Amino acid sequence: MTFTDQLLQFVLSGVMVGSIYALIALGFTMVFNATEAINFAQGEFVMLGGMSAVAFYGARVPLPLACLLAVLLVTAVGLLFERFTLAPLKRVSVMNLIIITIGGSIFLKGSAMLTWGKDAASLPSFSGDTPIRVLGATLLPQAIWILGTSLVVVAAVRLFFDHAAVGKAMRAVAANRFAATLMGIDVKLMVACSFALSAAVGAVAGIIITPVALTAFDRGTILGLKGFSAAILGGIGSGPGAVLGGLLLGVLEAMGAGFVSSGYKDAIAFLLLILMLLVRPQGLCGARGSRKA
Amino acid sequence: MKRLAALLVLPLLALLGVAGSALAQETYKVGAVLSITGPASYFGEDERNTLMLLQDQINARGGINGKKLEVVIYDDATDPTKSVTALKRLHEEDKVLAVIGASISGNALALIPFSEKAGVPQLVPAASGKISNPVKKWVFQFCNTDVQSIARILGFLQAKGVKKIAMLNDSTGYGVSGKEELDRQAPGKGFEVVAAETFGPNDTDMTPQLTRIKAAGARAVIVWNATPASAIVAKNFKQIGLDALQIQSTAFVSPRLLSLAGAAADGIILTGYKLPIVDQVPASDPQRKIIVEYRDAYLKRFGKEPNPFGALVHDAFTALVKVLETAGVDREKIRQGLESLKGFMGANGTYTTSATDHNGYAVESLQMLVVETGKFKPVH
Repeated sequence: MTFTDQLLQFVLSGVMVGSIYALIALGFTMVFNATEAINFAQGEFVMLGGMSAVAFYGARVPLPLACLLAVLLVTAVGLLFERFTLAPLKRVSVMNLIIITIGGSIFLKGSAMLTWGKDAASLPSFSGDTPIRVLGATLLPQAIWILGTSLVVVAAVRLFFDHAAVGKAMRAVAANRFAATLMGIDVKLMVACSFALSAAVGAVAGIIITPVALTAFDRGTILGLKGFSAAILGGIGSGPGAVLGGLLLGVLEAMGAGFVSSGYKDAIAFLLLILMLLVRPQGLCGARGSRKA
Repeated sequence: MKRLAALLVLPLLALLGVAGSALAQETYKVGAVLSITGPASYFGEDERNTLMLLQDQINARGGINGKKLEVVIYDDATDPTKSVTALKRLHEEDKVLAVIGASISGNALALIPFSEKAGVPQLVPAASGKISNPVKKWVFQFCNTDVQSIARILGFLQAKGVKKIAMLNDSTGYGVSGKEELDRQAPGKGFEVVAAETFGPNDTDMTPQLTRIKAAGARAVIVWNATPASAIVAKNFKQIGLDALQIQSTAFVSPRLLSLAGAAADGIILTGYKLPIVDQVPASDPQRKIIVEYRDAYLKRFGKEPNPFGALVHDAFTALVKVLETAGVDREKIRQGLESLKGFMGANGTYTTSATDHNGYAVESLQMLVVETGKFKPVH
C-alpha cells in the first residue's frame, strides 16, 4: 500500500466514524440551545437506538421496520426523560440540569443492562459486507449508509429549523427564552421537543453504526463523550459546528491512530477538547458560545 | 492467686478457641472476584454461573467432608480498583479459605499483592504469564499463559513457513502482556515483527491500524485482546482485504464472539480448548466425559452452553474442592495441596503443579482451532 492509499483509508475511516460523532454532537447542540445545559444522557440515546433495534430485529421484525420502531421508541424515551427529570423542576441552575442528566444516563444504562443483558450485539449490514474499493482504499457498504443517512439527517434538521413553525419556535427559545415566552411560544413544550429530536437523532446514529461497530449496554458513555468533544470543537450550540467538529474529530483520530500511535486515539480526542477550551472556548463555528458559557 | 486465675482462664480460652473454630467449620467458605459487568462481562457471567452450578452440585452430594460449601461472589465491574476492594472484603469480612479471581489478567495482577500479604490462596483463571512467573507463594494459575499460547502460535507459523508477522493488541493488561511475550519470543525464532499496533477496548473502528499492518506487508497478524472488539477487528480485516493469516488469542474461543463476527470469522485460527469441539473429540479421551457432564448440566440450568472461560473457573474450582477434601480449613495446607497437583484433569486441560511451578496447565491440552463456516474445527 502506498502512502496516499493509506492516507485515503484513514480519511475514509475517519469520515465514517466522524459522521457518527457529528450526529451525536447535533443532539448535544439541540438540547443546549433549548436549555443551555449539556445533556450527558445523549450517548445513552445512541446506545438505546442500537440496542432496541437489535431487540426488535431479534424478535423477527424486518430490519427496516425494526430500525424505525427503534427510533420511535428512543424518541419516546427522550420525551419521558425530559418529562420525569427536567420538567418537574422549576428555576434550577444549569449545573443542576447537567448533574440530573448524568444521573439519568446512569439510570438508562442500568435499565438497558437489566433489560437486554451485558453481551455485545450486532445487526446485519444494510446491504451486505462486500467491501467497495475506492482507489487504493476500501469502504464497507455500511459506511455509505452511515454517510448517506447522516447527510439526510443533517439536511432534515436544517430544513426543520429553517422552515417548520416548531423549528422556528425552538430557535426563538434558543435565541431569547424570555422574548419567546412573550411571543406566546410554549417554552416547556419546545424543551420537550428538543429532547425528543435529539433522542431521535442519537437513535439513528446508534442504529447505523451497530452493523460495523457492535453495540452493548455500556457503549453509550464513550460515544457520548466523543460527541461532546465534537460539539465543543465545532462550537456548542452551532449546528454546522457540530457536523464540522464531528468530521474533524473522526479524521484526526484516524490519522492519529494511523500515523502517530494507535494507543493514543482517545487521548487525541480529549486533548483536542482541552486545547479548544483553552484557546478558543467558543469553538470553530460558535460566536455565541462564549456569551452563554 | 495469680496462678489460680491463670488456671481458670486458660481452659476458658481453650473452650472459646474450640467453639470459634467449630463455628468456622460449619461451612467451607470460598470467595470469588469476577467481572460480571463491564467490558469483560462475557467472561464473568459464565464464570459466576459455573460457580453457582458447581456449588449446588457439591452440596447436593453432601458437601465436602460432610460440611456445606458456600461460594461468596463479588462483581468487580472489570475495574481493578473494585476488584481489590472485593478481595479485601472476602479476606476480612467473609474470611474465606481461598479466592478464585479475577476474570481478567489486569485485575488478577492487581489482587496478587493483597493475597500474598493476607496469606489466602488465590486461584487465577486468566492468562498473563506474569501471574505465575515469578512464582508467588499464594497464587495459582488455572489457565494456559500467553507464554504458552504465543509459543504454540509461533510454532504453528514456523511450520507454515511464515516469517513476517504483525501484532495487533488492545491496551488492557491482557493485550499488553501478549505483546511483551511476542517481543520476547519472536526474534529468537526467526520472525520479523513488521508492525505492532494497539486499540482501546471500546474502539469502534480498527481499519487505520489494519491499514498500517497491510502496508507493512505482514503475512500473519496476531490479534491479542479479550473483549468483543475482536469481532470488529475480524470485520475490518475482511473489509480492507488484508491477505494474511488472522490469528486470534484464546479469548476468541467463544460462540458469542463467533456470532458477532459472522462470516468475517471464517478462516480465523486460534489457540483454544476441547469444549467447543467436544463432539469431535474421540470417546476414548477421558476428558470428554468431564466436558460433556459440565456442558450438559450448564445447558440444563442456564439454557445455553457455557463458554470456555466458565470452564477455566470449573477447573480451578474442582481442583480447589479436591484439595479441600484433604486439607480442610487450614490455608497453609490448602496452599500445599494446590502446589502438588499431579495430572489433575479439568474441562480445559490437565494440571500438574510444584513448588517451582504454580501454573500447572499442560501445554499439550491447548488445541489449534480454525473457524470454518461459523464453527470451530480442529486444525489438521
